[in-house]
Amino acid sequence: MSFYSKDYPIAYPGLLICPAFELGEKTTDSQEIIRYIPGHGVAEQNYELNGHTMKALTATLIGSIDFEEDEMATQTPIPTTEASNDGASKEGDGQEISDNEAGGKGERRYIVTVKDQNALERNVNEDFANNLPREGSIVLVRVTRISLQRANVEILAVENKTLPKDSGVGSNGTGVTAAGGGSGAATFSVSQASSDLGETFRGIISARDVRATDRDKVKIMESFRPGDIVRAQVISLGDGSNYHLSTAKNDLGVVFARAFNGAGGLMYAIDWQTMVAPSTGSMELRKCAKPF
Amino acid sequence: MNISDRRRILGPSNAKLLTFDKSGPVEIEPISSSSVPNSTSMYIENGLICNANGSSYLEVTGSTSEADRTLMLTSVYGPRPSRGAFNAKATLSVQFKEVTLEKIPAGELKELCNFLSNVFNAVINLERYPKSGIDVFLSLIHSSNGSQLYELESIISTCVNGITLALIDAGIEIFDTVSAGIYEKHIVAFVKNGTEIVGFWKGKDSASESEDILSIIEQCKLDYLKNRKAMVEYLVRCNDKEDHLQHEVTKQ
Amino acid sequence: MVLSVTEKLYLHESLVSNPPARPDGRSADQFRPIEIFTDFLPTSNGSSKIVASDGTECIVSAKCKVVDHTLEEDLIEVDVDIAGHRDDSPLVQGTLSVLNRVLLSQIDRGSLRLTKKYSFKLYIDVLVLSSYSHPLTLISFAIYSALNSTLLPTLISSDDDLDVAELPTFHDYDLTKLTIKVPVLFTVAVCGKNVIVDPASSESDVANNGILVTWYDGKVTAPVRTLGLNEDYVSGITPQSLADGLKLIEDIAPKVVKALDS
Repeated sequence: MSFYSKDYPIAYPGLLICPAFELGEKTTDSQEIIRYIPGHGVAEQNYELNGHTMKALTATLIGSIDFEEDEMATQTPIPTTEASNDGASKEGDGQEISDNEAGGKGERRYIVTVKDQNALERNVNEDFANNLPREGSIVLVRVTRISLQRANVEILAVENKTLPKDSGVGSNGTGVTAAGGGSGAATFSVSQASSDLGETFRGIISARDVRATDRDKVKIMESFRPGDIVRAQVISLGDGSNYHLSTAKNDLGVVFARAFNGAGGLMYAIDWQTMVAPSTGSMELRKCAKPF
Repeated sequence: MNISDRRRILGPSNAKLLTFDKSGPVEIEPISSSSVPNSTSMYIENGLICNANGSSYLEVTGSTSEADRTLMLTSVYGPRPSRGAFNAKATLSVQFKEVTLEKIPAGELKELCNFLSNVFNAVINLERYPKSGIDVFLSLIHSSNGSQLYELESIISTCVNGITLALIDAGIEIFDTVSAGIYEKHIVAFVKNGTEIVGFWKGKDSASESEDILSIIEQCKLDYLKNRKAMVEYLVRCNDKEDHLQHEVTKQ
Repeated sequence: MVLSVTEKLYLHESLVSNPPARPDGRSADQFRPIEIFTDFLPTSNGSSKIVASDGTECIVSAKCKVVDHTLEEDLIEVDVDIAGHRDDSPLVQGTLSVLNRVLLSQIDRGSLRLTKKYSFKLYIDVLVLSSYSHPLTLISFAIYSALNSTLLPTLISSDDDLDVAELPTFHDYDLTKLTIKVPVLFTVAVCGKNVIVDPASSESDVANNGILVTWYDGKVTAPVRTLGLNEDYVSGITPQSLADGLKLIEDIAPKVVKALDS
């Protein structure tokens, strides 16, 4: 029986889930290989078994184990050398994957994740604490400062992910402030460097990353204003202090903004680059996220 | 009006006196030790500190007598943004504090913190948290060991277990439920079901000097397996019920 | 020296291989050549300077003071200063605490006893001028040779001063050699299944874990513990590696002590 169809108990850190790959159905002329890829809450580790090392997936969080077939990557032939190097033997029957078996045959991939049970009810994908922004993730940010070349922002949340309890307390306006902040008097710790309570990760949207067309004609002033809530995508982890973000997609850009630099009412997008305040009728320019 | 009361110690004439509820010292119910000799019992409760990302409270009653107790509160903050140079991995810092009496010398505490951060550097999946820092704060509420002022051994093992539980509570990815076992002044922190060691601490010479190191490790492993079993049982049960019911595990 | 990720990976692979291929061609149980000079500071009772081949340099001076040992608990006090590290950095604090504890717990108080009331108190100052690898082993070698070359003033007054209140008086120029057994600390790096002694900085950077072993009076004593040598490669080690590490020290420590004595 394949590992992906098994029933698992509640996962806890260190629980062995399955080997990194196993042999599936075997017909006369082909051998199916099932590969397991560690996703959220799962890590690949080396285990010693009867003298030789094998790779296995272990849980790193508490929750229930989920297997999801990766349709995109199926049928990619795996290099034969890799298979022989790993020398992985199946836990059950100790069958070795040899070169000729693995050569250019069909492969199925499963992404293994550990999910919090509460998250399933909340109807959000992969919802879990501690999701840091990484390349490609969509984040919600607030503009803190603008200049001709860039807009500085603070990252409020990764879209569809929960925040750690103590993240950005000041900026998000929720949560109880920690007395002594979990940093305080501590010397020589990371906390010393980021001593301020409720600090958030910061990011930069450069003028050339604001939109996909007419990149050189972008004016930051006509795209963002301080205080705007912007939906953006992380393009790189950036440097020590800033993530690099982009809004060069239709569904990215300003989602909430107030008129007159925050003094007026909430505005609504009427087209790709204009927002209007319904009470006064005043219009302002923004790089709006897909308004329809 | 009382003239002599210039400093207003007595307050205005219509003031009401502050009265306190009658509350005697709280009777602590002895943990069901079931008087099995050489058994340590552990009381676990996660998530007590509401503004930390994760926390654990651990109460360990020692093996030799009922009076040996270690009470430890662990809180985990982060991952929080770190400033300065780019870090592809999270940076871990461990701080230890005695909340009540300060009995342990400062240098020894630094050593302990170094040791613990080394242990957990090996266990936390730091790659998942770039550009950030994870702070662990240990508060030793109480530690008693009969004749000695403090027993560093039981404190260290409680630290290891407490940090693991707090990290799990915070949802920070760790490779294994690391836990520590004690035997004759030796503390060993194991991972992978006792096949690998992430921390070894021998602070004082023990009576069993002649004993082979491997057999000492084997003894520690037995203790480790008990501790780990208790922790995993607690975690799974909590996750099952969702409401963090108080849970008590007496190790046999 | 800061190594790139690729360089580190290469180095790690070669140290994990069997037998370990160390970048400077040493075998697993081989130390780097060290040079020790003793007794060169005129104002201290004992001194030593140790220079390792990678340029790590450490000076130790021991000074003495007469104290009433009924009042003074600790007869040895160590102070450590490592160039380039703040005094409250984990490295300095950790080293300081380990040295203080090891020396206090292992060294026999009786050997510093002068009279029934007074003892010598030793102040050991450690100055690491430049350190490229974990300096603990070198510091302990330096302390070892400094204390073994320490000359203390010779007592000429009576050593029984309980009845007669009398301060100890010393000979004008005669000095007595201090004879005490000094513990030596070793750091061992574990890479995969290999254990290597005296890791250089590049080796420390890729070691899976380090072990601190104390050697005193012909046997391994406390403290023994794992020691973080880096943050990137640190991982679990097998119990066998730990035992191997202790075994390695048991094998080589007598030779090292013999070399230090000569």
